[in-house]
Amino acid sequence: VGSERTRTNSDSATEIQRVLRGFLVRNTLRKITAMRVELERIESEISVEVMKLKREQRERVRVSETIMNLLLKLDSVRVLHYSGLRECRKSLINKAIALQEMLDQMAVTHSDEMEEKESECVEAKNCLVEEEEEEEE
Amino acid sequence: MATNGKTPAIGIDLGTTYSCVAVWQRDRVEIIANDQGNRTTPSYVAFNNTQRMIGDAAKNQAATNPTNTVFDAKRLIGRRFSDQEVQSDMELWPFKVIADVNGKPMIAVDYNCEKKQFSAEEISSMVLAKMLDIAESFLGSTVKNAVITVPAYFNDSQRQATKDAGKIAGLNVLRILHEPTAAAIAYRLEMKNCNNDRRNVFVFDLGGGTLDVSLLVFEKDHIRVKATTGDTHLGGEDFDNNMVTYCVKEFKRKNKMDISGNKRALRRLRTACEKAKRILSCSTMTTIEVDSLYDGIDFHSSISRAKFEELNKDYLNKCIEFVGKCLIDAKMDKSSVHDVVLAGGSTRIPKLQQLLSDFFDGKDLCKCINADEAVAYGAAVHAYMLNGESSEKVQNASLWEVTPLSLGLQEDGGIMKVIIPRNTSIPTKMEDVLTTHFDNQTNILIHVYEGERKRTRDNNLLGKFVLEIPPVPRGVPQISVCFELDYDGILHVSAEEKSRGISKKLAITNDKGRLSKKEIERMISEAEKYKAEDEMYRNKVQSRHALEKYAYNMRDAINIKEISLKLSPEDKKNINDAIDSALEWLEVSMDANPNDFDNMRSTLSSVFNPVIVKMIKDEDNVAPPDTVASSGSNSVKNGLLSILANFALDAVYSAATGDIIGFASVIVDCLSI
Repeated sequence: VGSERTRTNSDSATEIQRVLRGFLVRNTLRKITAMRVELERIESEISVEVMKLKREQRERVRVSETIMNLLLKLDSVRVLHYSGLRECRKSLINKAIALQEMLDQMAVTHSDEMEEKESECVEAKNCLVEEEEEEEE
Repeated sequence: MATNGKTPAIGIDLGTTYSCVAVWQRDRVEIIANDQGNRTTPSYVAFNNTQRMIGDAAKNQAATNPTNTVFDAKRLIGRRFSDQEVQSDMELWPFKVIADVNGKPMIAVDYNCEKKQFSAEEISSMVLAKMLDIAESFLGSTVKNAVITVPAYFNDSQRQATKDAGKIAGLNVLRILHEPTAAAIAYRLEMKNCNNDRRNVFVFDLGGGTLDVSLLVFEKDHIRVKATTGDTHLGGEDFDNNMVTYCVKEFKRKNKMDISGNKRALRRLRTACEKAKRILSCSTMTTIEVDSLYDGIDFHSSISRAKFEELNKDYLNKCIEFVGKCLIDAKMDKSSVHDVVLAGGSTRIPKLQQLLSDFFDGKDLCKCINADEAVAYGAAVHAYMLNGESSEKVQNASLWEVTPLSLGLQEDGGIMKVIIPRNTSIPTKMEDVLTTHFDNQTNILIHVYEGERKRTRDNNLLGKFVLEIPPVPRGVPQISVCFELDYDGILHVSAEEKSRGISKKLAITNDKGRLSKKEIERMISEAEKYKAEDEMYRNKVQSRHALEKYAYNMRDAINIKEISLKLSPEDKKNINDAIDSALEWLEVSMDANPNDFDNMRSTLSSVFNPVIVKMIKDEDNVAPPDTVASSGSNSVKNGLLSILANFALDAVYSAATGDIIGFASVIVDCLSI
């Protein structure tokens, strides 16, 4: 009881704010952690279904859209001017963007491969034609 | 109260971007939240290869499936393909709009791997059906009757089309109500001092995409729309766009980088801006923060309310210009306006409120009802009254609407002959007698127009029809033409040759690209079909999940130490193989029908059940009849059974318990766990 008396108003205010801030920061951290788990799940999904993703544009769009929604959710998390939290969020955002770019890259390489195949086909045909011509001669 | 055997009537605000549904319950209006907990539902319908989505689900996947996600059906409803506005709107839509043989706009989408065409009425009916669904699940009873709102500027055919959409959705449309009227009714109910004086009410409705301003006159027992104007492409989204442009400029200034080509970055920025806009309606300063917006660089900028207002100065001033225009149209001085009513989410912007208040010389604005819900609120009140119920609170709010435009015929020389003058309260029925101008005329062509101009060519042609008459000298035939306006402001015209009793009725439908009765019936049956398909899809997904969960539960159960120890290795292997094959089957068979799932489930349980039943029986046999030991084995069995119950392996559970009598009490205990 004695200590209660000596406590000043500002001490009490500090105490209350300390507890509240702790609560808010822990809450936010929990949210970010949940999203990190989600992102890791998506990442593993991507690594498992690499071939399918390379083949189908729809799949790519779907996964990249899932990541986009996660990003928008991350953007809406309040970091309360606390640099630790901000770093935490930023690292996750960077990871999400990297994943999206990886997906984009897949699209590019896939279309390149297709072109290469096509050109190979064309070359093969040309070879055949040349051979035929040689035979005729 | 919705007692005495009557089904409740709901009010639906069918908006361009969002819709809202409300009902009168326990002496007050209840805005009904949808399955996502949102009080407004996006007016979006989306199709893909397996299912149809409406509302939030449709909007959330819009970015992944833009060509098959339909919105803004309200901008198409009741219009013709050749309409100037339809043509200009079409350029902004990602989905395809084409004209059918009658010149009616149709929306072309891929649904279940088929090319399908839907009319705007059908799309709107799907949204309405969704709203009905929301209301029914809230009220726990079927709902038939509804009041649907439309903008005051909607003409006859747009109203008709909206009513048709309601019919297709399976609703009994009690009334088509003007949106400003609905908003005004809502406030009239809220305002306690509603006496029976004449009151001029100004309604300012600024939503996500459209601005509607209207001036209403409340008289003793009717409400009249005196003037209405607005911009169909001005709203909250424009404010967001301005903010995004500003942020892009800021980013360029600070980092010398242009992000306007990066769609993803722009989308994150837009979301952040929209949030900031909302915050600025209640606080004077906020920050827009987006980490790693572009190339790993963070965007961080604070924006003040003043800056926001400056950015959107042009739009805000434009809004006020429309207010002035509306008053001029109504030939009314702003000092004679009694109340200014706000509706639509964007009217929360403080600057806009201040500008409006200043315009009306510092008048207080009515903003006590949530702006997004005011229209649905009023519609619900009206629906309640029309449903033939009364309560002390709503008694004073009874009303008659009036026709906003004169209706008439074309006389000789292209002159408009007015049959029903404007501002006549509806419903009404008026007659006029015509005669012929020539000798031996055998038919009369009757043109029906709406509008205020003297010459018919300046007015809007609603329809025309031919009445055939026997040849007699001119001036002899007495043809009475009867104009009838129903409660929804929809016109029916009939003509009768008196002496011979030849009569003809006009369905104003054909000329305006309306749906015929047959088409509506077809669409109703189709709507039911689509609903059944949705239901089937849901069932399929449910059975898929059930099977998946069943398989995983089974695996978890045999991995539990107590059970795992008692199983022989080959039993375990058998079960594991069965589970693996079931999971693989799930992976590959994306569109199996529900029966297949059930079959698979019984295949699984035919492997699993005998093993477990045997295990439990063995347990029974091992236990000697000694009381102490049997109580020990009892507790083991008890434990096993409760483990199985925990995994919800009902089939096993019943099979096992069916064999072992005397465990009834245990089972009951397990079930209650």
